[in-house]
Amino acid sequence: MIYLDNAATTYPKPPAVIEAVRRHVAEYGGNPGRGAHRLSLRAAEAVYACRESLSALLGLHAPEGIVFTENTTYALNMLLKGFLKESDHVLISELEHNAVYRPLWRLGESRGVTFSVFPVVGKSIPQLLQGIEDRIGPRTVAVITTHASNICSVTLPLREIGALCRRRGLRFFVDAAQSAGRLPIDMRAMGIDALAAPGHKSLLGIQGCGFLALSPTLQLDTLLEGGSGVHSRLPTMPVELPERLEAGTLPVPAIAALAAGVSFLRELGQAEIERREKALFLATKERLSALPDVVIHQPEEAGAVLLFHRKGEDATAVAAALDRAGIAVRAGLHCAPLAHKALGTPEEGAVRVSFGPFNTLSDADALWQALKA
Amino acid sequence: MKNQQNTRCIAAIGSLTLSLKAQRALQSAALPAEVIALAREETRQGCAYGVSFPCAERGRVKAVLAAQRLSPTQYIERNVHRDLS
Repeated sequence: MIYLDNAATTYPKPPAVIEAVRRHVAEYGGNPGRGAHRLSLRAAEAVYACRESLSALLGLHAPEGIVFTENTTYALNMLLKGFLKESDHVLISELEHNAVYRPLWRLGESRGVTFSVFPVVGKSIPQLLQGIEDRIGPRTVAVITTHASNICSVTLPLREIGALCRRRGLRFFVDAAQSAGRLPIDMRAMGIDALAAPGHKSLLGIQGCGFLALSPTLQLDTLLEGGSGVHSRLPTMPVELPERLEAGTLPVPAIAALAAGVSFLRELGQAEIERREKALFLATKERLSALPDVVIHQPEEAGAVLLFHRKGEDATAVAAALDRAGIAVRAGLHCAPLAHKALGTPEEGAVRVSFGPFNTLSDADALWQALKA
Repeated sequence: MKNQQNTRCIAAIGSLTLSLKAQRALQSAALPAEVIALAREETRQGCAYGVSFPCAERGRVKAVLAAQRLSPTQYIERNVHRDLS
């Protein structure tokens, strides 16, 4: 199978990632923070090493600010529901995933939280920033944006948005589901107060682990309470991070895998990853553009994701035909109805091709051949 | 298993993550440190962790932890079993 669905999850994984899972389960499968025996402490050290790696990768430089969750969606829910108060107002981009949109919708119902959507597609950086400024009101407390869209290769200028937020006294939260591991992120330099990401996409870990990276200045109410491994007599969760926000057993095999994935990326280098993605995007775009009935959305933005539809043919039918040809892509709305509306795709959505570090130019050829047939 | 019992000092921290952070910081400063679970009588709120270190290094340990913005709840002196194998 030719796998072109890396925006959903990356596949395959580096051998070191698979080995990290095996080693944990076979050699030191204790529960970190739930005892003082060697297996528990070894597991704790493996978890801490991953916090250190992620903290350094993201420019946070505070391992205790890495809070592990089961995925990005959980991290975003923890962030939004832990931070937003009654009648707060936030700004979101028009490219947000349902992992931001739906919790805000729910918070609208439960706490009267409101949000405004600022445009991104086709906007210059000054225009985008003005769009944010124009929508700030007396109750605005935060700007929440994706770093990279999950349906096209548009990215948002985090540094500039962060500077605007600092100037206007707003918190800045980032959904890095499609960028962590691929694009450079420096939370301190970019003024990011919180960032959510998964372990299983561009960080090359396995499913079951995501995280929320928190600036030390940000306090969140807890979404979940339970065992934390310390201070068991207290009826409340501990005050200190990360234990305050990590109730229950952590997904240690997935965390071990994530640490191995970050090591692999460090060796490969983010510049090389970007170079490969752009080469694949441009090669695929060139080939698909030659097909008369294929429409590519946002073709001028080269990156890891290419979105297209075929005139007169349902996107899911195109994806099904590609699956029969041995090519994995994803069709539909990609849990991002706001983004599809912003891009003006057909009502049923479009076909998403998303590249990973193990794709080659021959995969672009194979896609073209299958669509041509 | 060969081990030895000797008197060590413990910086009681609480959080396991912060105890590991303390250990890393102390080891980077060439101070031998190990993460240790606090004994029942050393913590009022239930399970907690800290770092053990040679008592002679107490001054330097305090300085290193302060530089990391780590504030132990107390310093304890007790016998600690160390695995020498």
